[in-house]
Amino acid sequence: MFRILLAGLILVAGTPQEPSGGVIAIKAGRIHTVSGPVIENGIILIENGRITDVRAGTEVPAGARVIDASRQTVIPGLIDTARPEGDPNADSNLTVAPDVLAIDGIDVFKANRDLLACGVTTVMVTPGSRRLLSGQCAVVKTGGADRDARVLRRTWGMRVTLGEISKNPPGILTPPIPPSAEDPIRPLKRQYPSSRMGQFAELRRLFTAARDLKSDLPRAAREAVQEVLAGKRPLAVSARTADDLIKVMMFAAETGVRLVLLDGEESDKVTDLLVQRKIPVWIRSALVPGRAIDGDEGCPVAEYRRNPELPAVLGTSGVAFALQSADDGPSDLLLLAAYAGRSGLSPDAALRAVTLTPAEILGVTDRVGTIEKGKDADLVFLSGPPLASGSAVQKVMIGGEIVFERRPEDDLTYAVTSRAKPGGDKAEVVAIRGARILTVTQGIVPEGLVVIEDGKIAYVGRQRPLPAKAKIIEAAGLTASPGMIDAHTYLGFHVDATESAVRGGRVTEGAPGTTIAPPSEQIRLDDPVFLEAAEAGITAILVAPDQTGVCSLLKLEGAKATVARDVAAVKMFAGGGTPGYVAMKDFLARARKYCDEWDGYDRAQKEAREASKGAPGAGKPDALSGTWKGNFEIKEQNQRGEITLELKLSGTAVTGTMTATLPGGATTHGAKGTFINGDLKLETEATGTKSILTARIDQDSMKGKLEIEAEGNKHTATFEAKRPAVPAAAGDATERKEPRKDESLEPWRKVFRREIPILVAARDVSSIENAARVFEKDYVLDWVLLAPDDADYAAARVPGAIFSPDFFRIRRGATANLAEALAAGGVPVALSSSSVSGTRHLPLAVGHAARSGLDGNEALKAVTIHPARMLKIESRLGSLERGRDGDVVLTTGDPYDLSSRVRYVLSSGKIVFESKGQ
Amino acid sequence: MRKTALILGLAIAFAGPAAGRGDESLVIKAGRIITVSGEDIADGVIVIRAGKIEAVGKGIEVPWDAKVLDATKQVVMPGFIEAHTFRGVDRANENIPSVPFVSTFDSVNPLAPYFEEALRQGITAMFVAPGNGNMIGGQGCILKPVGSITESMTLVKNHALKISLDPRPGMSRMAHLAALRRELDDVVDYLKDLDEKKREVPTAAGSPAAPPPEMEIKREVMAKFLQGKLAAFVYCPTSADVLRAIELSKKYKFKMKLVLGRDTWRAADDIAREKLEVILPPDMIFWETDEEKHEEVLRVLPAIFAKAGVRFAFQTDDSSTGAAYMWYQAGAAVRYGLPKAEALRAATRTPAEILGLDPRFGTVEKGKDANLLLLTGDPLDARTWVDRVIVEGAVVYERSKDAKLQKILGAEK
Amino acid sequence: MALAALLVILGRPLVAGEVTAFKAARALTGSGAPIEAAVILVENGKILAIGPGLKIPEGAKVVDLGSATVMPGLVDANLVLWLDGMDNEEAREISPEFRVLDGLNPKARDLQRAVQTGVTTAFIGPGNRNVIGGLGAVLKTYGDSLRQMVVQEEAALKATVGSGPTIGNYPPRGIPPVNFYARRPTTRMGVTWEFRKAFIDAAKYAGERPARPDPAKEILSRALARKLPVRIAASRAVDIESALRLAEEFKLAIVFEEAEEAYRHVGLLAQRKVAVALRPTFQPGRVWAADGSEPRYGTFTALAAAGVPTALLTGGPGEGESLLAMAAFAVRCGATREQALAAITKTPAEILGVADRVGSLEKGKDADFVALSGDPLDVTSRVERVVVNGRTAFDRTTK
Repeated sequence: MFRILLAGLILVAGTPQEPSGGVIAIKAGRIHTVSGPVIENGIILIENGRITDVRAGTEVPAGARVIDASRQTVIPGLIDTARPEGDPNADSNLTVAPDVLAIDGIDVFKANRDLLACGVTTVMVTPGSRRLLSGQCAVVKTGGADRDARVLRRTWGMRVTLGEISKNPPGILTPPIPPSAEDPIRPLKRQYPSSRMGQFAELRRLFTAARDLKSDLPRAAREAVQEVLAGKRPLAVSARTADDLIKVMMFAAETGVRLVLLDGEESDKVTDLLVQRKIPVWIRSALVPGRAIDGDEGCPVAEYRRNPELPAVLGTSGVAFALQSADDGPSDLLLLAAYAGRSGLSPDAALRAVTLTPAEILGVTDRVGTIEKGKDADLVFLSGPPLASGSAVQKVMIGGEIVFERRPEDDLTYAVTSRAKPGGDKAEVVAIRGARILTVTQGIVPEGLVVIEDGKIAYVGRQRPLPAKAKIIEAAGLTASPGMIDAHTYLGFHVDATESAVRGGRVTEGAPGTTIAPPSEQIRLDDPVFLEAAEAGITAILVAPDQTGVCSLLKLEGAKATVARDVAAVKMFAGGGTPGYVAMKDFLARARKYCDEWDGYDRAQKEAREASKGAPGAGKPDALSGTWKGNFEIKEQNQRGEITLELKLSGTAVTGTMTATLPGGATTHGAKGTFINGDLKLETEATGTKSILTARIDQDSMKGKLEIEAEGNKHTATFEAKRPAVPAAAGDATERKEPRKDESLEPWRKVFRREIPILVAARDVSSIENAARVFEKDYVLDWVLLAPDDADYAAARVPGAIFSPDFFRIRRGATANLAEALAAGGVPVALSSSSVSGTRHLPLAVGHAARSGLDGNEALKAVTIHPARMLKIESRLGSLERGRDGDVVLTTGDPYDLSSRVRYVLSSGKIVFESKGQ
Repeated sequence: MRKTALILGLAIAFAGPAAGRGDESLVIKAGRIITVSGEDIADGVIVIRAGKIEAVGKGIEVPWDAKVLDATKQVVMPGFIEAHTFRGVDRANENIPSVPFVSTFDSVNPLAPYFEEALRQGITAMFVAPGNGNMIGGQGCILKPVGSITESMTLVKNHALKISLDPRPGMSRMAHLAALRRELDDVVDYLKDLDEKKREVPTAAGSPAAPPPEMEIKREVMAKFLQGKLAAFVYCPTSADVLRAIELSKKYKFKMKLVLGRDTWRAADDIAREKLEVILPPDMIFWETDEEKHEEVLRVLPAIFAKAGVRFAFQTDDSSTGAAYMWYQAGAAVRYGLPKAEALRAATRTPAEILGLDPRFGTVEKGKDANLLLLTGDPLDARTWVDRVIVEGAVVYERSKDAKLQKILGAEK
Repeated sequence: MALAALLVILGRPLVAGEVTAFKAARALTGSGAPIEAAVILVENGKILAIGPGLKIPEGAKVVDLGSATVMPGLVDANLVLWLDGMDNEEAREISPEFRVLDGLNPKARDLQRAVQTGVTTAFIGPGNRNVIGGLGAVLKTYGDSLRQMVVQEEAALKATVGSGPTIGNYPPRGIPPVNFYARRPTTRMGVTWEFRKAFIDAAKYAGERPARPDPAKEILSRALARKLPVRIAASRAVDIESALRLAEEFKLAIVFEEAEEAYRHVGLLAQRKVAVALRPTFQPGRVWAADGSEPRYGTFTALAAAGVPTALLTGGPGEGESLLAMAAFAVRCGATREQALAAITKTPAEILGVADRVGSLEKGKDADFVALSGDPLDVTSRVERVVVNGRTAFDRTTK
């Protein structure tokens, strides 16, 4: 028993081991050596963890252990920057701590599965980032049984942080040891420096102190700084803004230290300097795939915005640059490289920026960075081309040892059963010649023509003679898709905006307390962020408050956004358990009462006016109640008959009887149905026969059709009926007096009229159940789930879901793509940025979803037709069809493929973006 | 009210016969003797003279003047030893990170309930060290739970230095280690130029103006430590910290024992390779959520370290019922596969060795101190109580006279 | 691979009519004398038969537990969610209609841990922060879904008498309470008053029966009609005293929870025939009483001897504080073997009103049992396998 127990423990502790020694031969379908050309069907030979040969061909030396990757693409292990273990805010309490070692912050026992899953095999770990000089970086591998082999550089560059963060270091306490009456413990004190001049003065002081052996500098610290001065180790400086970049380059020139730049997000402004002085730069991505972008992309200065073409600019300038992921937590570095490709960086350059270049910067090219003879066997096995959205990391090898293998449950995808798969959008692919058009709702036109007349789509199809005045966009080889819709964003409320602007009413369980004015009235429609978003292909956004409140739908049409609907949806939070349900139900009861009062009042007013005009329908209790008489006709049998309806309207519900009189005789059935702004829908049911009556009411006449199903065969009749005037009931309308106005409830009148949906933020299953119960069982309303954590658990109740970029959850012990799971189960899914500034990066979320299992077409729908339907505006947005808004995006490839570039964006027929690059 | 009861309790505890202290000898006739050093002895006899064990075995004839304790229905074993605790003092840690110059000896409270309870549970020696909260916490002392003033309780006054690799909240591991290295480098340099000064002194001989330089008091402890005259008990909360501790001890050449936290089991093999003696955490059997598999797994440190071949001692504290009792710790280890003999060893002999007390404590052998427990049954049986405790040949605890135990076992108000 | 194996074992669906025969060296049934060479026949999660060397029917699946000792699945009369935290409705002090079940995560880590210590049935109630917390449930610690696990949806109404509900209710100094919602009550008398008021209102409500039913008062009036037991968490003697007074006043059927200081009222409890789910204090240095008096190792023994139906709870989240460990300590402190074993199986089952299904190994009862490597009261014997509703919920050999 003891043995077995231990076996168990070892198993838990164990990592995948590889027998060392012997030759390993990898048969690869494709090898990106990075150092040389791409090899199709090649062989990589490995001995004692090192690459002994890379060549084309398929023959394997005898006795070699073969790893078959003939269907896979092999690239060098990726190199990224990382933070040490533990609390990122925990820090040394010294402004200048040259003897702090990042290596001390690394837990060699950690599995690092998350990093390896991204293909990262080497990381440069920098010590804290909140103080001026936080210590010495380390360069280590992310896996491997041989702990010594994992350490490439125990200590590397000296980390310096410029900019806002390090100008406001936390206060410190410096206790004398031991404290005494003469030398007491001093209170918390603010730390110097807090300005750029102070920072550089402090660095100079340090350098002189290091030269002077009498200084109070700790020995280890002095030795380290002397190595920097001797150029033995670089100064790794985090400088995010152009001015800091310039200053630090001048400082380096003055003191003669070797420089490596980190987080150089504005380095595109100083490329000439960088080239001239041969200073390498590491550019940090502010984006974390799978997470909403908070703040203005976490930029230190609110008004400063990063140039989306940064990688492309550097790529062409000849600067030695590497890409680093956002420094909190591992993120998909390949995905970021691909995204850099979208801005125009060539795929080769992008791949080099995450492999060879960082290796050069770190001076470890002798071991990692490329696939070459003599280098460590650090390899990443991909299912497809490195930058394609569809490729996934299958295997990772470090020093010839497989340290990561994709488990079946990593690809775990599962469908959930939903109320019904949405009909109507079953794409039939028709093969016609023309320009490639993804209509979303009407399938694909391989080579076709889209004609837009005054802002609306007039034609989508193969061919059609064009009017002479037409402006022609040559889009051969490009792909047209509808403008994207961001179904939930805070765009326009900048982080530096007043809090009350972003925040809506205080959230009480389920029920909005106060509702604020529509966002459209709170933000500047000419804010440049809207143009940026439009340029990325997003032509419509739903701007929502951060809390309960009203959302506005904006069309992004270039320099100025226009308001499509000021009140486009109501956002509210659903609470769980009994209290959540009770709170919501109580609130809706209140709202319903309010709305009925007002509807009743308005109707009465209208009728009063009509009465005074002596118009027909005077004195009617409402637009429907009463007796209707008319004729119907069944065409195919050319039968005629009379129809009589006795109807009673309460709210939107209709009850009454229907009498159909044919020459044969009359039949009367009880009927019930609904009456929603002018549209009547009645159903009668009796044994054997079932008839559905749909009609449009105008004043006192109704027109419509009647479907009768008897003994299994169907007849369709058209009919007309009128409501004879009856003497006006002594002016009851005039006595009504105006109900009290309640701004917080006004939007709900639209909701109850089912003109706009409710966006319900319901995190757990119980809240979702509550929402479903209230909005469907208790009240028949349109609602959509917002950022649902457990949507898949309650899928059967979910009418539709809007995901922010974090659509991953742990399911059955593995990471599952919820968006994919729900889509697979037929739940309409929309992707949103849910971000203050990240709307223009919505394509990243789409690509990410596609990369992690969501069918590309579904991914596209998630930002076009699905959000359009959810917001009940599909008549204008979400597809390329006649009559829709002329919102079209032209991309070099599939819009959901990250490496395809945006060439044109049209919004309501206007060209808001035209690509400069070729 | 409480204090008086407590003092009463103690008074009773010390009212044992003085036999075995002087020349006259004390003899224990035991139903079974667990020697720990060797095989158990059934119906054995232990002869004690002048506080030392004179003879152990079967059929030894009893000196005519000997006072005989009848334990023929009982089990006799060596007293338990607590290799690391920070109970029995007012506060475990100073509030500044480096205080090598303080010692728990100055803080021990002889009247602390802990010592009384320890005796009741058969713990006859304990290393009272500074807590795990300080980088350099100070020195600890080894005590026996007998005596009314610290001096009379003390076995070793300043036994070892306590170092912790657990960074204080708000400070990173890197900063913590950097600070520690700074501290150590500083002492190394200080000693170096102290030597140089010493060498310079003779040249200035004859001139009375130049007295030989002396070491600052606050440096003494660290100096002794780095000169190898004082060992360190290093607290390692995680496996990675174990490696760091090993690295440090090699770089600065100091002797150390490890006080382990729960998450140190991954470093079991490294500890074995370095042949380090360790003290397991009080909650040495615990649940952990396996983030990979998303299931609750039970980690059994004694099993893991035994498999790796590490020599370890148990530790108790008040955190949970089981962890409060040395006999239960041993029982729990046996529950998950540790052989009974090894379990008992980890509660007696191994801690004695770790504390350097093995010449006197930890086993029932000729020549060792007579620190014995007379148990009503097998030590690992929950029904067993410590009936009598003998320390240095004197009966210092008798359950029949433990008024407080009677009280808390009963239910009267 | 360990996981895979586990899944294979746990994941096996219950096939109706499939008979499984468990063979063990020894079985402590809790209802009669120990059975040597015991065979337990299980069908559809129920015990078909149990006895020495029973004949195993054709085609039955045989699970040989070898030298193991089998005992009834342990029943935890108040399983505390140490990790996930107990449910406390902060918005109200009196929240009888809130059901723990609505907020419970069937995969709670505490449940997974409890199974490993042999617990197969547990009462989970709201925490101690409310005067009247809500409805607690009795459920099995293992199952595919909450629905499958539930034994009693609304087992008891949880209340707290003492200073628990007052913790942290004092408004910060200098801020007038009108500025924010200051939670009541703030004193022990306040707690008692909230309790009394709630039941007075409920009694009035029960008398009038207004048209629009009030869910909260409905629950309370069920308690008043003694249709619903009231679980009162009370640690100190004074709390126990007040609780008994309240129970008297409203004729409530009560059960005590925690009750560390019950030793001061043994006689009273025996005379009132009130059951106790005791949080044992077998640990030195832990002080419960207001006057700082020591813990009483003898509390359980005294209660049991006086005939008070007493269940033992775990001492805490630690592995060394499991129900089995507590039973062993109880014996150490003077209880009889029978008393100790009953206190973690039969007695709690009775207190929770589920004794007809669990608590002992008898024909027709749920097939919940624990296989141990030795005698349950021997601290060196470990849990080898746990079976819930006839399905293996935990098996050490796969760990």
